[in-house]
Amino acid sequence: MLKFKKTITKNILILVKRFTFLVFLMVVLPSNSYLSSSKITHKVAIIHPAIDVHKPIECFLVEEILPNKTKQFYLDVDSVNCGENICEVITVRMFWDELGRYAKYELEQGDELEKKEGVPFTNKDYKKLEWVLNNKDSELKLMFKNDLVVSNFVEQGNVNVDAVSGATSTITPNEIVEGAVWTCFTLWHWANGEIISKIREINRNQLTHQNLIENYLHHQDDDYKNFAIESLQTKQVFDTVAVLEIEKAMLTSSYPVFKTGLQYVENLSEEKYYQSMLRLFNKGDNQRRIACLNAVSKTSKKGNEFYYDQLSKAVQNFNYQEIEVFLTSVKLTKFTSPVLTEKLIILLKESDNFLIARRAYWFLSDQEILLTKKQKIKLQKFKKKYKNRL
Amino acid sequence: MKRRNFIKNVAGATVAASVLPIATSCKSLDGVAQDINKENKAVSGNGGEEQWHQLGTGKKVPNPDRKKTVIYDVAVVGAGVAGISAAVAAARNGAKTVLINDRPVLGGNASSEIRVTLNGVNRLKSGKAERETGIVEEIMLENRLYNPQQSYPVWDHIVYDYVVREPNLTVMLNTQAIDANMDGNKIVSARCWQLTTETEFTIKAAIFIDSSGDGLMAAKAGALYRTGREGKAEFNEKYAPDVADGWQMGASILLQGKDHGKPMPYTPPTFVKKYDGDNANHERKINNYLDGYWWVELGSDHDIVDVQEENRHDLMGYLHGVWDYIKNSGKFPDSENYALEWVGSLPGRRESRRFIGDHILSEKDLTEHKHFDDAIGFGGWSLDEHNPSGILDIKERPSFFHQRFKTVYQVPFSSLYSKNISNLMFAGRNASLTHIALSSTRIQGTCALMGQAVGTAATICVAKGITPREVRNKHIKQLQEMLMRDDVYIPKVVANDPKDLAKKASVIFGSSTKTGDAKNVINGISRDIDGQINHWQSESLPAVFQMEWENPVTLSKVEVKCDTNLQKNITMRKQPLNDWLKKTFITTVPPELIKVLDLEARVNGKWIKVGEKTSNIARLIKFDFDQVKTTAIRIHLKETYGFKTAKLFEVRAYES
Repeated sequence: MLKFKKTITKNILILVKRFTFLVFLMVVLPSNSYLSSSKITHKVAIIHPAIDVHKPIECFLVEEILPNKTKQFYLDVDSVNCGENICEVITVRMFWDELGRYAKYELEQGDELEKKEGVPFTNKDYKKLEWVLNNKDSELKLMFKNDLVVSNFVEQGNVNVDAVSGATSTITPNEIVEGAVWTCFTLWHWANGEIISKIREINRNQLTHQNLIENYLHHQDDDYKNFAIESLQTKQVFDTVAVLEIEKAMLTSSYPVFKTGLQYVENLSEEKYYQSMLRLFNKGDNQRRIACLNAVSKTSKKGNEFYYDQLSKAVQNFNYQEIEVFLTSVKLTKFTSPVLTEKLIILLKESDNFLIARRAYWFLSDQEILLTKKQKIKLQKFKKKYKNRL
Repeated sequence: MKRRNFIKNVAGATVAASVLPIATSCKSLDGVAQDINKENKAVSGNGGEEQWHQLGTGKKVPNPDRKKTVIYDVAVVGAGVAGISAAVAAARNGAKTVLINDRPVLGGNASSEIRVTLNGVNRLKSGKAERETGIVEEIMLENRLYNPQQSYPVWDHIVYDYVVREPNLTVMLNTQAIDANMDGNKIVSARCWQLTTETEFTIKAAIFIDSSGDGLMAAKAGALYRTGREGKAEFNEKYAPDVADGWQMGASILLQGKDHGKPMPYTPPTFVKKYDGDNANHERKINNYLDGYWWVELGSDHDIVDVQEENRHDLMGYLHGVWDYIKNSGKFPDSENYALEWVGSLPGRRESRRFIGDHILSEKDLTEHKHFDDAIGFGGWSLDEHNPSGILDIKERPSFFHQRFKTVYQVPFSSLYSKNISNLMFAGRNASLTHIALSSTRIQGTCALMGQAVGTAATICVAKGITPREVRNKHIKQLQEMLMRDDVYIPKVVANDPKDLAKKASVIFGSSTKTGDAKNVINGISRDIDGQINHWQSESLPAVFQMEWENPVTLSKVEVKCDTNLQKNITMRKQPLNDWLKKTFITTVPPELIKVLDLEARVNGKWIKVGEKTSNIARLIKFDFDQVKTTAIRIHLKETYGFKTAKLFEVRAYES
């Protein structure tokens, strides 16, 4: 009974606090976004599975400029939406960075989270909760409200599976703070839910092209780079400065950044596209070079002669896979050039790699009609010399 | 006419005992009474020599005493998932094989007669499955494609089709192996009774595999066995009782309900046994009306075979008692529109005889992940020992999930052949195990791996004229290599087949790489396991995977192991999946599985197509083609059952 009274009293206090804050916002500030010193409040509507899986809930997301000029966003949320009115509810302030990545949570002074039967969180529980909220692939991602209330087993983390029926199983105990599955579920979906895309959208709309390049594309963190590339593409920024900066990031960052960049490059005009591809190929490692060759072989863009001509001049520097993919692509596009033929003839004799020489031989054999007499003789010599290896 | 001659030959074997093995299904042995009577001695009785007046022929003949002798290389007794795997493995590897089943449908506990979910390593501590591959995987994948309605009777036929299409395999249904004829410590033949044709078969074979669960034939052969629970001390088992006793886990009868959309009253039959659900342990909770309750279970503390019919009757009564509690106690008003759609009449058994092999697998072998140099497969279901007394003690938990496994454990071959009968092997719950080890290994997926191992081992025995023990002692590497080639995963064992020419390729690459090194396909481990990546994955589709040799090789076979997401369960369930269960179970063909692909070989510099699959449904994809001299192969991966990328775990290439 005492416990019940305590919960009711706390909930009333929270409501009063919320109401006061809300009235302040509504009266003082215009709709959708509200500016307050270094803070802006945004009204956003998002789906939260602990509240309603179909109907969005409106929230007041606060954007704050930090002293180091970066931004953070926060939202005050109920610690738990258990649907049964038996849970202790306190306000939790949840924080995200400017990319929408969950950062941390804070409680009001004196507040504490509780587990089942009113047992307060221990320090270990709070640490575990941090881990839970940072676990992007948590089983909680696919759990819905109805799954949580099937039995007490969930809270206990028990498993009730039999060999015969393969009957109901429950969440892995590891995935939650034991005894606080509702809290974990509620907060996890706040931390990792729709709010992320809302924050990214808000931030993107505020950033200039220059901001995106200087502060995001040049950032050490690949997530920032990906955000910058996606944003520049969304904003249709395809000027030379942006293209060169993105290429630089593609070549110096992790491969996923390169892949994001390829999507950006695909949106360039034909001329810029092939120029960009050539630069990326020439400066890239094997994985990136192969990605370039594949991308070009799949693109619907015309006007590839310059690109193939340029690559033909450099075939002596290709490894076997690059030769294979390049010549396959050349054949598909029916590209021919005396430069390529001559370079391949050289490979017959001079390549240290027999596989490369043999691949050149196969390619040349296929278009023998285009060869000069001298080239044909060289081709025949190769055939004779390696007749047992062809 | 040919058919008639064929039957004559089989019948003649009763006296000649030298008939050729038959290669067609036993359903051909439908018998022609007149012919049979020429060979068989008439049964004397009141009817005498003219007992049977054949109106069709106008003749009067004695009642037929049908007896036939047939000869095979390998005889498999019991066609549960273990027996099926054993028989198919033996047949595919070249042995003339017969599969003998005492029921009208295949599948044992998984059949429509019993409907036990075909579980395997469904859920390790990680929360993920580690599905069994090989033959059981092939069947399960086909079921997902051809039986989307999840019908158990249709499943029966999918299994039947899977088995009878093997050219080296004969299936005998409604046939029980009731005795063994011996020559010293060797089984010469099994005496079988085929219920539907009133025929006594003498089945001769070089190797016998008893995968029947109860193991009547093996027991009749004199194979050593035990029943009950070992005491703690014997194998140093933490979860065993202090003192040995006779307890055997029970058998269960299941049910399936259906929502009819209107009130469906229920009146229990007279044999109902009341279920006091109000006072039952909370783990015996009623949480659905679609599936049965596995804890409707009765065992025995001495001889479970002896009391099986009494238990069956009581279990049927308890099943109705539970349903009566659901429908008529007033505590489950939302069950109003549900009615029984199917009720089992045949209990699914968990435990009876456990035969003794050279090694008795015990708790610590599993929990300490002991390494066996004769490992042939794995298990990983939790130590799931059911409650002594079953439904007779409803206040107790229905089962004790003693311990779950972090990763899979090995199952050794030396637990799968008899210690004292030289040509007898086992697969399934009757293998050489302690009671506690059985609580995990009894799961059908694990039993299937045992089956595939003994079926494959039997072919080595036949080819070399040796015993299973000699396979273990002298040819275990060969057995392991054969199993791994046939897509069995053996923990901590790396495949290294010297005939595999893929390992000699000079260059291996994919057209793009999302994860994994292309060379992983020849590293000898054909699944991602214990955090180690053993695959190559394309970034997108279509994709090309290529191997190149400096010197030409001659090839006629290329075998590819692809992705079926072994961390998800594809077993057929009786209840729809909720959103959370969809994380670990799927009800479709795994979307990762490659559906359309082809294989090209580079011959004289030109790519020629040597194989194509337009609706692949197997994890192990085999391309067989006329021999070609080639310098490279490439696999075009075109389409999956849903995913936008493709993974390969292994590529092998063979001359023949």
